[in-house]
Parts: sequence; C-alpha cells; structure tokens
Amino acid sequence: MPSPEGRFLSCMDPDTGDLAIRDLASGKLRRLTSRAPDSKEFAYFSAVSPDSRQIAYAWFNESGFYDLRVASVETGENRVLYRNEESGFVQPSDWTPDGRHILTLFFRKDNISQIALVPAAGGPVRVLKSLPWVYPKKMDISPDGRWIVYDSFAAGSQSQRDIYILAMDGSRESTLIAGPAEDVFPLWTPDGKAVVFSSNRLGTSDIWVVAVEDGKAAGQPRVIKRGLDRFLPMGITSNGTLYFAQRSGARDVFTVSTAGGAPERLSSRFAGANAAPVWSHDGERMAYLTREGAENFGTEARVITIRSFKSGVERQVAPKLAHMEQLRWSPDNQWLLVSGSDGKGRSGIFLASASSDAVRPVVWDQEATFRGIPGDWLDSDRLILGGSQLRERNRTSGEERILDPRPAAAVAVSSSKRIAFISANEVIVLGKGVVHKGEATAIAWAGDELVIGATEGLLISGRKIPLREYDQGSISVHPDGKRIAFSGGRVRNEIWSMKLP
Amino acid sequence: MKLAAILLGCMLPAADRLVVPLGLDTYVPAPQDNLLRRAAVELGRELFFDKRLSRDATISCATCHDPARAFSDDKPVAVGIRGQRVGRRSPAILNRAWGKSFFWDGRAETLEQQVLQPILNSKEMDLSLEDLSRRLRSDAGYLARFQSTFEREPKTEDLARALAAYVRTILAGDSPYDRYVAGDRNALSAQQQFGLRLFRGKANCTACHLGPNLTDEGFHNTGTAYREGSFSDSGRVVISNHEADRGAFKTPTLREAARRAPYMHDGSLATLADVIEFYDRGGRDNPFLDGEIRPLKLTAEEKQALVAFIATLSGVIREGWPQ
Repeated sequence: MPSPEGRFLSCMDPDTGDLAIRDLASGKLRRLTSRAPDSKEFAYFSAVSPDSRQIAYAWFNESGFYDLRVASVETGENRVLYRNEESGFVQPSDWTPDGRHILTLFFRKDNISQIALVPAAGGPVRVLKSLPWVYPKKMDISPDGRWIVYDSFAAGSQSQRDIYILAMDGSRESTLIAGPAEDVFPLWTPDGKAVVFSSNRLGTSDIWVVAVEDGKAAGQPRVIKRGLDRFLPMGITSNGTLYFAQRSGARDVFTVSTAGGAPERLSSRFAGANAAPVWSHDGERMAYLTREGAENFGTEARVITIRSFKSGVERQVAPKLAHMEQLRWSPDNQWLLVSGSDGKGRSGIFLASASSDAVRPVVWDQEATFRGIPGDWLDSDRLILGGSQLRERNRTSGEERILDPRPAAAVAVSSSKRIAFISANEVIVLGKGVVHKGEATAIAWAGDELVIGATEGLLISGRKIPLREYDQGSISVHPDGKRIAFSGGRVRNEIWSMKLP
Repeated sequence: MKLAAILLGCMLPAADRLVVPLGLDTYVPAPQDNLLRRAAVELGRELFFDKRLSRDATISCATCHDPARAFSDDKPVAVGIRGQRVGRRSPAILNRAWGKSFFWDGRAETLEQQVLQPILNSKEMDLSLEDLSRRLRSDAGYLARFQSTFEREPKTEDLARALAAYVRTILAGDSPYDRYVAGDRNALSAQQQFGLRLFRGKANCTACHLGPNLTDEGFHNTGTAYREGSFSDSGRVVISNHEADRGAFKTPTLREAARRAPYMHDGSLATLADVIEFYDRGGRDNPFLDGEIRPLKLTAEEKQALVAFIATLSGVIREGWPQ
C-alpha cells in the first residue's frame, strides 16, 4: 500500500517474509521486522497510517493464525494490537483520517467475514458488518471519515460483485454500483467526491470512476483507463496517484511425458484460468478447476471443468462451495472428491457430481483452513483422508481409523492401493516408510512409481523432470502412466502508478 | 478544514444511537423508507405493548412475544384472542433486523409486512385495518404521536413502520459465547468449549445455525411435522410451491435458546436435551428430510456438552431506543 504522500510502499519482503517499506525515490527496501530464518511467521497485508509514521499489518504468528500488529516506520518497534484465534485471519485495509482506528477485515473460524474498526491504541473492536464468507476484495475509508466503500458479492451471486457504501457509524448502507458486471476494488479519490473502481462491463477489466455525494452515486460511472485487465488497485496518494499491481503471464494446465521433454499447455476455452488437473481412471476425461471472474491474487470463485478427450468438449459443473482446492475422481468416474469449504464455515472434503451441480459434505475438520483437507479414494466405499492425521474413512458408516498419526498435507492412492502422503518435509509410503526427504508439494502414482512435485520440477524414482512452468500445485498421472498433468505457468507482478485525471 | 470535515463526518451523537450488544453488527439493517429513528421506535414500542390492537383488547404483541421470555412465550403453540390456538409456536423475535423473511414459513418478506398479519389474523388479534385506524384516530395521544413522527394522522402503513422499527431494536447478544468469540478464552468452561467444537463439527449444528445470529435464515425439513406417514403442517411449501419445501420451517436463532422452551415450530420438544436427542436420531425420516440431517452418534457426554454450550448463547437483550 502506498503511504499517503507517496514516499514509500509498505509490503512484504519476498526474500524474508518481513514487513518492509520500499522507498519510491531510491527503490531501497527497509525491513521493519526481523523474522527468524526458520520461523513459520511472516508479514502479509498492510496499511499505512495517515501521518505515514505507523504501519498496521497482518502477521502470521507461531500459533498458526494472524495477529494484527502495528510497526513504527521510524524505529521498527512493533506491537500486537489484536490477537484472537477465533478471527484467525485479519486484513488491515485503511486507517481513519484521525489515525484512531484501523479498518480491518476479520475472517472468523465459522467462515464469517467482518468489516471492523480496531482502535489503534487498543481496546474493544467494533464490528460494523458481517458477511457470509464473501469477504470484500477492497475496503476504503472516505477522506472525511464518514463512509466505507467496499465490494461484495451481489445478492444471490457467487461470482459477480457490486460496490456498497456503509456509514462509519453503522446508521445506513447503500449500493453504489450494481449490475451484471464484476465491479471490484473501490477506492476513494483524495477529495472524497468520487470512487474509483475496476469493472469488466466493457469486456476487459478497466478503471472506472463514479461521483459520490452523501454516500450515494451522483451520476453515471465513466471509464478512465481501458485495457489494464489483470490489475489490483493498491491505493491512491493524496496527490491523486493510483498505485496498482499488474499481473502478466498465466497459470494453466500442462501435460508432460513421464520420460521428460517439453510440457504442452492444455487447449481450453478457459485458457489461463485452469488449475488442479486430474485424469479420470479411464483416461478419457480430465477435470480441473477454472477461475471465474476477476483474479484476486489469492482465492477466486471456481467451477469444475470436465474435458472429454474423445469429443474435445469442455463442460462445467458448479457445486455450491465457497472454495475448491483439489479434485479426485471416484472409482466409477461419476463423482469427484473435492477438498475445500462450503459457505457454512465447514472445511474438509465434499463429494461433487461430475454431471450436475449436486454436492454433499463427506467430512469436515475444524483444524482445516478454507482449503479443506486432502483426500483420495481407496475404493468406492473407503476414502483416505489427510489433515491433522492420516485416516481411512468408510463413507457409508462414517467410521474412521487412524493409519498414521502424523499430519498429511497431501495423499495419493495407487491403483494397487498403495498409500503415500506428505508430512512435513517427508514423503512417506505406508508399509515402506520415508521414500523422500526434502521439499515436496504434491504426489501422484504412476503405476507403482511415485511422482513427487518439488521446486521447479517433478521427481520420478529419483529422476528429475525439470519444469520451469511447474507451480507446485497438484499433479495427476494418466492411467497409462505416460503423461503427467500439472498446473503451472509463471506470473509476474509489477507495481505501477498512474496519475488520475 | 480537514478537521472540520472529520468532525462533520463523526458518528451520530452517542445518545442518539442504538446500543448494539457484543456479537452483533453495529450496522442494523433497515429499509430506506424506515431508517431507524428514536420517534418511530418509541411509538412502535408503545404499540407493541398496547392490547387495544386486538379486537377485545386482551392481546398485545407482547402477550406472545414476552420480553421476560426472550420475546417468545412458554406455550407450545401461540394462543390468541378468545383462547384460540394458532397452530405454531410464537417465534422469539430476536435480532430480526437481520431477517430475510418472517414467520415459520417465511410468508412475509419484510418486517413491515409481518407486523400487521397477527393483528389481522382472526385467531390472533382479530382486528381489521379499518377498526385499527379508527381506534388510533380516536386516541388523542396516538394522534399526536403519529403526527409528530410521521407528520400525518395515524395510517396503517405508519403503524407498520413504527412496529417494525421497534422490533428491529430487539437485540440479543453479549453472551458468554460472544465474549469467547471476541477473544476471551475464559468465557466458556472446558465443557462448553467442547460443546462448541461439537456444535461446529460432529453435531453439524452450523449446517443451519451460523453467523452472528446463529441462523441461516433458510428453511429445512427436520421431520418435526412428519407423523405416522403424513405432515401435520405443510410448512414452507404453501408459500414457495416447491415440493421439496414440504415440511420445511425457518431456522430459528439459537440466541437465548436455553431460556425459551419448548422447542421447534410446534413446541413439541420440551427441553434442549430432547432437541439434541431428536437430532442425534437423525430427525424424523420422511420423503423431504433435509440432506444435512442424519444420525449423529453422539455420546452422553457429548450431548451434555452441547446443552452446556447452548446455554452460553444467553446474554443480554436490549430493546427500544436508549434513553
């Protein structure tokens, strides 16, 4: 986020995970925290105070959730302002003009997101509004301190967003921008007379502006910059300079021969929006997750695309889930096991139809994040589940037995029922023990050989297939064992500035 | 200049704001044509307790929605004018400002629509709109209050606005559960925390009871109305005309639940322990049973923990405009 006078940007140092500021004149980066090299802690979202002397930031703590902290720009001295496991994700978005409150998004354990004001000096938090799962991508306080502008899903939609204005005293709320387009990332102009936002109403993501009076639109919105497309507005400085991140490159589904060679990008109507591929057991179809709507530089609305290799047709099913992370075909290729979470705060694993939008929960885990828990099919009745421990679960009876007490970040079952999982920095095969030490992000079986996803490549029986494209997401092997599907591609994020007209 | 702007933009004076209990949003939704204001709320409060809103002046809104009983009553089903049984339990009208629809079957879309229906219902208060207007106009006090609040003589639509405005100020929160969620790790005992984990996990209560008001505002068939092969009450289907809604009723808030037995839309379960036993058995099987309802296989210890947790949802109820 830019400081109000445009002197620096607050950010996370990508090399260390520390909170840092980048001087916009010299380009120099100065860290404000000092994270231990082996720590799992790191800084995340941040917001600069009106006098540019303090930075509120989210800090992933040693207990595995986020604190709201404040750091002094001058001295780096920092303090915990809010720490509550029940609101385990916090995103500071803005400060009130008087510097007394920090507008913060809470994301609670029960998947409720909340627009809240946290006193900068400490004290009781005031929750202005709760939203079911659908958290705003951007919230911003008007320069006069009267209004909060934010985006949220339109009523009944899980992909299209409208823009709302909420009175800071909670006395009223109104819709500023509504319609079939995706209207997101609202920011107040420095004079408080207009809101700048992103909209795809003309087919590309462009920057628009709408005049505002007394918390309501005062005229029709107009476009001020076209064709920026994949951008994330960060903030507007007091002299009217908009800072934004812009993304180039694309992530997509690729396949590569198990013998190595150049990967091929999957031909798709949804090019650049696909991830987490998985082949059906007969090899005739592939399912993958396709992003819907604008990129969020984080989590996005997703649907399942199922591609038939016979017909080349891609069709989509949209189970009503808040987030989907990973897919696994059932033995009869009629269902997909989906890791993720629903709109009712339940994270775990779900069963989605491959032919309709039907979905039902299988099991949820209170310790899981919204990404759910990994799982795979042992047979049509039994599932192997990861999470806090490796378990076998009977779908019909609900009975479970622990296979291994260690946490499992990924699981894979071979056609001959061999079970592998990733725990910490080890890949373990049940009945065999540790088969790989070191970084591993995904696993899949190629017959009785294990394919391990690692940094910039795949490992098969100790042999590495270097893949610059591989993004460390889930992988799947064709039943003939000859090709591996993976999600990958490289994206590049740049920060730009633009003087508003 | 900037300071002046900030001061102008300050929140309403504290004395002129609703005091919202911990656990609820500061933003209390209200329609644009009935934004919350003191005069309308205070008029609505007076009307809420006035028995002259029923034909024989024996029943007020507060008769069935008794503040001493968390704005419900202790009867299995509501009893209206001349002792008539209404057929469904009086719902606790807590935190209804966040309601998406009203009545057990959701037949009213707004509170302004809802508040008139019990007055008109022949089994409840049995007063026609004409008689109602006549009574209000014949009362000098009401004449003056409506004039000062709505700048005209009493009209039914203004009465609905006033009653709805008052109902929006009935706010339940600040319970041990709210304090726990706000970060006070000592607000719940170990047993109650165990109950909360079950509530969110094995017992699957959050399938329907979620969010600050512990309801999804949805309609679910739990089998309560299904007996001996048929439905004693068709529920939501009468309004929606969707067969899948047969026997479905709106999810009530669980706020203050421990203080307002009996339970379910027909008051057929006497205690919270009975409710948990009902759900532990998987509700009552029927052709339209909600997919989220299934046997829970809870142990006796788990059932006790759930009851202990639900007791933590009782806290403070505020109503009316702060004086």
